[in-house]
Amino acid sequence: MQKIEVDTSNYAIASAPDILSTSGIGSCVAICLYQKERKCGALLHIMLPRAEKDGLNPLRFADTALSTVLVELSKQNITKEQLVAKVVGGAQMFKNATSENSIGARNVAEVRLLLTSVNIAIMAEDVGGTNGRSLEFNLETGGVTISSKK
Amino acid sequence: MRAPLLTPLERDMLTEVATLGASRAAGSIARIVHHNVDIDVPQITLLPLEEVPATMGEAEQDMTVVLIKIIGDATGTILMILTPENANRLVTAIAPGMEASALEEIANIFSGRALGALSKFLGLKLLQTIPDTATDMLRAIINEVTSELGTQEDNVLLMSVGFTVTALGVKGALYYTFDTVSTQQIILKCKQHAGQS
Repeated sequence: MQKIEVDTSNYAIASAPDILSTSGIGSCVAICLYQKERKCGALLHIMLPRAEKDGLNPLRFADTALSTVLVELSKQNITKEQLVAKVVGGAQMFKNATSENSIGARNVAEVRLLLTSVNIAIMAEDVGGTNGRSLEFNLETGGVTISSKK
Repeated sequence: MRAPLLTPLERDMLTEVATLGASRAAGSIARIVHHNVDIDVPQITLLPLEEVPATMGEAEQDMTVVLIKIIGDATGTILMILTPENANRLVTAIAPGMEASALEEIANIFSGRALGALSKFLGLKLLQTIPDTATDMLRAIINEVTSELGTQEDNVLLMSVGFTVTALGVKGALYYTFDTVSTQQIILKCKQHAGQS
């Protein structure tokens, strides 16, 4: 069993018995994609909804990161129809930003929209609030365990 | 995607600017806390914005961060980062029971003095917004700050200055981030200042 830590603006694909993890999710959003039969999945840690110009790190943005991961999964014969998702993060760490416009809220809205548009069901969410989160994604069970300081 | 390197000359100029700002700031804080405030030699790095939190500590480490945004002729942010224990000691020493607001005020003075010195030295109008505070996992907080640059840039200029108030047992650090356009502008002004452009 290997624990694979996913950094900000990055992703990893693995299968059981490995565990995917990412730490210090604030306004960022972590997307856990799971294929139950093959006990494999992907974890993405995105920072922003969409790029406003070309040439930037594509894994930073929900739209380009998700499409990259779906292509990589398809190379392993995993299609989006086989996947379910869990979505974590999108908090607002500083109180003065308004909550409708916070980066966290915009990230969550975009991720929901993107997953819906490719027909990937969101099975569970732990989003919003004002606290940072870390998670472990168990590929044996598809379970996601979230920890927080508050 | 690697960050372009600053030339040694540019780095020296930015270090000089950061030292100037930080030493003014330290002086003004020393007058409030009635103790000496020592500052380290500033560190200047141009790095991918995803790598910023790791230069400040562990991803899940609990930290208190005061955020001030820089607006005007250059845009960026100022961050004052301390452990919650150090933040508490600093605040208790000057304003017992005032916690967040007192810390924000300290950061305000710190950054105001530093920015004032920079504005004057560089001939740029640099203003600051009202401070905001958060205490939580370091990476969770910092990524929210750097993400504001992330729609436009891959890299960010990070200037850091550690400070110590030995008499209070307080250590912390002040970070300035500037976007690429602002960085170029600051370097240009440094060169003009040095009479080299």
